[in-house]
Amino acid sequence: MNDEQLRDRLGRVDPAIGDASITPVTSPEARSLLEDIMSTPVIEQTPEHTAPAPGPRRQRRPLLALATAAAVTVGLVAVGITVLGGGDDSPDQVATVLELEAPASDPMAMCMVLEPAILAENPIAFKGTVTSAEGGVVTLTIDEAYRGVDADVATLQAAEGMEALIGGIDWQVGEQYLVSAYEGVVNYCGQTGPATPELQAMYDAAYGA
Amino acid sequence: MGPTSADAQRRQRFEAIAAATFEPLQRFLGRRAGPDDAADALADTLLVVWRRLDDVPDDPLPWAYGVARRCLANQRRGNERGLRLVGKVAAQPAVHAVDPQEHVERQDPELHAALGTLSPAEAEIVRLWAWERLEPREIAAVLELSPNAVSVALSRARRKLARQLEGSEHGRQDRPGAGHLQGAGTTEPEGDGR
Repeated sequence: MNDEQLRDRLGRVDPAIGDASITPVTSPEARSLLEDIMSTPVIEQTPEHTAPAPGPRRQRRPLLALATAAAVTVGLVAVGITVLGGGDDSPDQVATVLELEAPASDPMAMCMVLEPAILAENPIAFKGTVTSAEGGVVTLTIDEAYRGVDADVATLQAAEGMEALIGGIDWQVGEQYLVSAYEGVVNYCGQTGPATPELQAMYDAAYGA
Repeated sequence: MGPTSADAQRRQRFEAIAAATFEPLQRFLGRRAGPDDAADALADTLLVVWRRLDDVPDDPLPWAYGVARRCLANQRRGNERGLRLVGKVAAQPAVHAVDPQEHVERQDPELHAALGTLSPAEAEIVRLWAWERLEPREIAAVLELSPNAVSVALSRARRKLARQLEGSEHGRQDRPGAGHLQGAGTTEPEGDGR
């Protein structure tokens, strides 16, 4: 059996054959989804960026509440990071909210061995000191921004029931932590945690500090 | 230029990428997950594209497949379909409402059994080659492996499959599935990852 015969045989069992349920990108449903996505705030490097106001889409889709810090987490194990514009020199500062998910019950499950190359994939990484940790909200002052963060303060929000230990990490006031996030998920698997020398070395290698 | 034109440029780029990937992503996801999970992962994938617009390469589709694959994996880890961050495309009844793996098993039990003997990474490489019709360097972009590692693994996997499928002409060989054929959730690459 040569490669083409094998590919043909595999092709015959392709689940997508004759699948009429593909939604065209030009359809109203697709347009609606794309518009919703384009309305979500994005953390930009420049402090002047203003997050778009939440619009009428929130009435259409009651679950979509990206710009509202409070409504992050119903029914979903989620950690939201709010990055606040820092300082007194940016009058247009607006809290842009990045909602990130934490893995479910066992954050260490299915983890790969941590390497700088894996860490380096994260679009958001910083080192911060916890200033408060209560009521499911951890607030950190950002000591060093490695990537994707241009602010002085970050807050992490946990879902109900997860306040005690957000993402399996014991957040202590006054302690320093290294935090990174990828594709809407705060990566635990050892990638986020207390700023030990070992983890710091990983972050330095990953972000070229 | 002010923020308005930057925003317009951003929208334009996103629209272009969405146009190129929207339907292929649905097929990719529909081959690996049920309709609800696929719809959720589609929305999550496009949200990632929007947030990481600057990282999207000129050929966006393999990169987008990689994101979609990780979204499926995250879904399976999180085991949650309660709150979605973004509204999903209204689900239309899928022709194949059954789990895609059951579809394969029903259509060609010998092939299903042969695929079950591959490692998760090998099985995914074969699917990307056969169903998404990707070249090894594109598969490499999806799975974040080197093109060389993909070529080697693909050849090995194809040989394994061919041997078993030819062998089974002489009588059905019943091999309990040692690998996993459950889609993106369990296909973590073996040690030849970066």
